[in-house]
Amino acid sequence: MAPNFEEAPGSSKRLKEEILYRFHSKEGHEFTMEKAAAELSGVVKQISQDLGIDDDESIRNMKPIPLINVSSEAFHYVVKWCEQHKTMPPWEQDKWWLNERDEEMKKWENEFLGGLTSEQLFDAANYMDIKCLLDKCAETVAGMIKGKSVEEIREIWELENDFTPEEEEAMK
Amino acid sequence: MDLSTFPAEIHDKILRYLDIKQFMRVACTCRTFWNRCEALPKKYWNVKVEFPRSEGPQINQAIITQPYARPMTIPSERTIDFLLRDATVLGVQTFESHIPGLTSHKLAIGNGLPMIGLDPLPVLKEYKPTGKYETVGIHHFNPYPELVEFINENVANLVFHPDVRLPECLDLKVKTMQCKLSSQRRGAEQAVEFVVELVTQWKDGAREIESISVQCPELLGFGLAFEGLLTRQYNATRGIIIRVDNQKIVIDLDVMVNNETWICLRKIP
Repeated sequence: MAPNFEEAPGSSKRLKEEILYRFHSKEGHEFTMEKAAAELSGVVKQISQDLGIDDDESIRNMKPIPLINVSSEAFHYVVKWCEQHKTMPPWEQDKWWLNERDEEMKKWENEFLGGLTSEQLFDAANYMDIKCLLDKCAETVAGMIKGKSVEEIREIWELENDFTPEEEEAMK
Repeated sequence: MDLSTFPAEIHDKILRYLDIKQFMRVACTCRTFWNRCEALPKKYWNVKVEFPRSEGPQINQAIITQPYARPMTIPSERTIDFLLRDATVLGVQTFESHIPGLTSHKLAIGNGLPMIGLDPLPVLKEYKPTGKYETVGIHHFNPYPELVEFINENVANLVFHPDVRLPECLDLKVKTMQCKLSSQRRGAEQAVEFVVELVTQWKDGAREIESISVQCPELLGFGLAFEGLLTRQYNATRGIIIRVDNQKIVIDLDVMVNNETWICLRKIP
């Protein structure tokens, strides 16, 4: 059976039907993201609010949001993350331990982040203020140093040892 | 990855996913992280816990539960001092071994001191006596800012139980536990009798159901009495969830089965 290209993501038919925010990455590439997914971003919400965008038609007519600090590659992954999480309850920022994800979602997240260099994605999540992604990135980065020595942590996180010898001695 | 380029808020987010050992190691990597680690306890761990010298060997067995309910082993007194340096709550004892004659059960019922599980704040607020708490016993300490603030203002002594048996014990046999109230009646002198049906789900799928009858003079007493029962029967030290709804009391056990299995005591408005 031939694939239905009209239903493919990014097809003109879907673009007409879906409420999509448009974005420009650092490199100037244009991306789209479905409304519910895009609104996981605090920045998107804030921009919409500032511009008085409160209906679907306005979103359709909105100019692309420039993301000057987000690379196309990182944004590609941001879109994937947000699409996957768009139906989740609002993220608890201060009581993060209350946020619950089912096993399937946890597995997805671990696989998703497992193959990535987190730095760019972390930057993007921070810049776009996507709290659930930001916390997951933090957890992943924290996991990188599990069981590592001080010296190994410095190496992994590229930290310079700026303690004096006396201070180092005092820590032992 | 170069973490030094990230802002302090991001560093804090990362730090809260570390256990104490990792936390201490990160603090020793560079001045930036030392400062963040030093600042973070003031925000999240604003309680000083002082162990009497005589308890030295037991310090290694203490568990403080982080705000997201992951247990941490306290490696040394120095670590505690590092993490919990802003002293506002003093007086740490263990229940059975360091308060002669006061088992956790007696402590709970006889003295009316709340022995509290995962989220003590609602219970502390609800059952706050006239004046301030003299002593509050907490098994797994969960020092999120609102709780710490309340303790600082209303609790003179914090009794802390280094409980290492619970995860090991429950993880061996129990997969899930449910508890539901099957009947209740009010008797003379405001005494309340509860018949509690405790359903234990074992790992192999088998279920055991047992009824426990508990008589207590007051609601708080009930919760703690039941906790005492659990403590004796299952080595579990968590409490129960109590709901007060139109004079009806409904109890429920909330069990978390992840890194650690426990039953927590919470008062739900």
